[in-house]
Amino acid sequence: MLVSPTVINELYKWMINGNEDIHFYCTQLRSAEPEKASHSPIAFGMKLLRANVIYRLPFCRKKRISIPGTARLSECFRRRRVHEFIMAALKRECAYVDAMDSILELPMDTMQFYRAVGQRLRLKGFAQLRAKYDRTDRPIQVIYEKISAELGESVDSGVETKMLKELLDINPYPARAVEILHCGDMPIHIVAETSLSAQTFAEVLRQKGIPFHTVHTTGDLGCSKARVLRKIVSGRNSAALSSDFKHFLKPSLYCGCEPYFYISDTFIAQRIKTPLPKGRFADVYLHVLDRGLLTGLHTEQPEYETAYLYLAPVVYAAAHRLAGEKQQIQTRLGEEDFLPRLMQEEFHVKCTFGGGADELCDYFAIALDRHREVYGVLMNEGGLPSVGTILQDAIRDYCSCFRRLSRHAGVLEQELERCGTLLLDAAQPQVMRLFSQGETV
Amino acid sequence: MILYHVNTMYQLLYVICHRLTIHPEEECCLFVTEYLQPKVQLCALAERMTENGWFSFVKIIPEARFKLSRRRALDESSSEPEIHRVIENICNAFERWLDFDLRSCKQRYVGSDQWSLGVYLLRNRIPYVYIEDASGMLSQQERYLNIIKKINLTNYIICNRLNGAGRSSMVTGFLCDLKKQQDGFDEPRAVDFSVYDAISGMDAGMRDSLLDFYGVRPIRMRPDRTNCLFLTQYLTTLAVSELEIQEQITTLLADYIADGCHILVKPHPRDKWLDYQRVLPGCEILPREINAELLPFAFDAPPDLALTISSTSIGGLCSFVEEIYEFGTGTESGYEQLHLYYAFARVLEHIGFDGGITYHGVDPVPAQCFLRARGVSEGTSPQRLLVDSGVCFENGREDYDLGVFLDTAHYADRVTAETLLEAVEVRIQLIPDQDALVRPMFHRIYVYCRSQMQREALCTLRISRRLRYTKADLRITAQPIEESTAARLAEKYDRRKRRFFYEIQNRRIRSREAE
Repeated sequence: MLVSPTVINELYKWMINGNEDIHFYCTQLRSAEPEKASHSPIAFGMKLLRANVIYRLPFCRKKRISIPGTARLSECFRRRRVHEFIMAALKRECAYVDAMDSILELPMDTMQFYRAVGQRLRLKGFAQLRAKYDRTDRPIQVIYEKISAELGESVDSGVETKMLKELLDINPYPARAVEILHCGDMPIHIVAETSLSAQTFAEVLRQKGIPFHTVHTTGDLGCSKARVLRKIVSGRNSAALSSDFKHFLKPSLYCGCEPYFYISDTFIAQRIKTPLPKGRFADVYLHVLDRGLLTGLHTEQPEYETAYLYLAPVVYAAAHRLAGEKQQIQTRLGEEDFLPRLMQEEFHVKCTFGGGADELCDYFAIALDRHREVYGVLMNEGGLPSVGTILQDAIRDYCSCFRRLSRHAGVLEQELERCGTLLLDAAQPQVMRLFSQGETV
Repeated sequence: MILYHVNTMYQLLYVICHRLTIHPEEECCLFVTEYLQPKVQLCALAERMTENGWFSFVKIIPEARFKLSRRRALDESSSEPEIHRVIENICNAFERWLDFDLRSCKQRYVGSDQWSLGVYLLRNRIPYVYIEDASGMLSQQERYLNIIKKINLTNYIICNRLNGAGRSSMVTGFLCDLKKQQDGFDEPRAVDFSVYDAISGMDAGMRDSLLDFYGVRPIRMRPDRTNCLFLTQYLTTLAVSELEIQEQITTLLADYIADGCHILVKPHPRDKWLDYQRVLPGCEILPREINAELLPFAFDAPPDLALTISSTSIGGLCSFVEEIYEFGTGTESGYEQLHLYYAFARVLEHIGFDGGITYHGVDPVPAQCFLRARGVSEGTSPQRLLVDSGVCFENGREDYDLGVFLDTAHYADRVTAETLLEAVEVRIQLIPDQDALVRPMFHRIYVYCRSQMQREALCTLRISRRLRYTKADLRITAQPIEESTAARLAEKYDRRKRRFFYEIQNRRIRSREAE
């Protein structure tokens, strides 16, 4: 039996029914095998039904998603290239794009931001007061009037606005998706959950180079972004892009929009069973992860949690460094493994496969050996002085490589250089053993 | 009845020209895959072609429906029976849809035979003439197969199984632009047919109706500036299908070749994902839908230069634009080496080299482009230069006056102390802005000069320039090779190389003593 893609899409939309877990599950299923839904609609439908049952039962709701045939959700995750992700949206008439925490992000939590504003204003207790009146459905002037009244002195909202303009970061993946929509001559309507006026927010967008047609802010309209959507969406042939499923995409579904769920790396990372970095480093690391620096395109299944989340940044940087030194490396891995793919596809370095430690002597070698629970950079005698050195250099390269993307690179660098092992400690100890073993293969 | 089948906009223009000039009196029909354009535009296009009387009928092949009918997607692990079943499914679905006997056609011209019509012809062993996918693509079969693989893996598997892409014995001839084929192309069945020549040879009425059909409007060049036509490519056909990389290559080429020019960007009809106004501020974007082959008939004057990474359409402009820069497919993946090639050209410009150049182990295409752009003429003096990755230089060192080693990794491994002593180190540093896409980079190239005068002249090389589209600063400096550098290079390798290092040290000490 064959079912047309239109029918599948309708069925798919109905089955998701505003549940982000199921949406994510379906996205993974469909991107793993795009034609499966059409060629085996019954099997695909059964899987969706199963997901619907599991994720709607109260006692199962918090359960991690697992895809049949794989051990973990993360094992089948592959981020799609941005044009593949957004291409179908070009068939729509217009797009509604969620701005805050989707294409633009504040790289700190709200309280930290208010403290910073308080420091700039030199007002004690400002952060607590600002948090007390923190409502995005109120214009910023109203909030500041209340704060002024309570403090007994006039406080200007301009400082907060200025700082917000300075601090907001562009999230490259969804921002590029918006650019693609713009190139397709599609009107882009930005919805921002902020107290700023539409005019001020439009200035922010212009300053960041994000194209748009109209801007709507919750502060101006005095309601939540879900309600804003209900007010502004006209027609049923629109696309909606956001990383907020519950408050943006779900309401947009009810308005008849086609949802484009930007699944951030942070989102994925938080759902994975492996331990995440802790403390201040965790904030920085997740922020870095969210920059889409490592797209996951070169990451094959079993290496995901360890290689991509923890080890990949370092190995990536080490590989980059080695690629500058060598045209050829030898590895004991298969052609489809993470490292050879990275070296060959990303850095265009030829890899030779197989052989034991003795045969590594003529090349710089870098190895990831999952089966021996050994991950690390292996150097032969003629290589760089020590694993420690290359690791330090690699960390430095790694930091410089995304300095353009994040002003927090400096913080990360400090953190990494402070102990050099923080990243490694954050990962499972058995994974990282080799880094401490030095040059002995 | 003459049958034409097309899958790309280039093929469509090609078959229209072919039909109008080679088969003007005969009845012709056209089969078009539905992916050519969005449905509404494609239907309108088909209607206009029929109204113009170019084709008796135009049939749009519902490839998406056939895709469903094949019942499974194939990959490289698919078994022979699975592939066979999929082929059968496609052919059965195609036959059910087709209300026309393909065998009854007097001649069949088929472009992109990996799609359903081609599969049907191949499976049923019906002969046809193969139309190349783009100008000069017939001689680049490996590149073409890679593109098919990237676009649709199932089609690629089927294509290999049935010897598609023009490899089958069912192909009775090839329609191609012979002048644009790569060197060494030898196909006795190939028939030359060029769009530019065909349109140039048309009478005014026919040409106007063709240009009107494509909506070609006059494009004016800026008389006060150098005009550079930049031809972009469909992302999927690039070796590395990443938007960020496409953007980086675009900005690098614009900075290195078209700095200060008025850039006219002609996007590929399917290159819809990059905002060129943002990438190349101040550029002029030409209509995407018009084929690049029609541009010579739209411009009021030829552009001063044409630039592309590896667009095949550049071939169609050869007889129209004087200066053409095509960097080749090697640049698609090796774009970060463009800085090296640029530095190489600046080195030769600096020392006033105009002799013969031999390339070994390095891609000559970008090097030649940069040399032309810098006005370095080859072969006018008896001097000889070897551009090498360091593999064979030592074997024939006596034959060359200069040597440039672009690959530092093999340098100490392959070059003797004598050469090392007479080398100059050229450092290339790229310092990007905060918001630039490119990475900070530091490269070295080593230039061996037999003449001390040239060596000294080279050591004065200091270049600092702004790459404004790339948003980075480039610095190139030359200096005599440092002992520490030589030591570091030698340190990396075995005793044999260390011996060379000691030789260098000893020779330097001796020369100092002599001084």
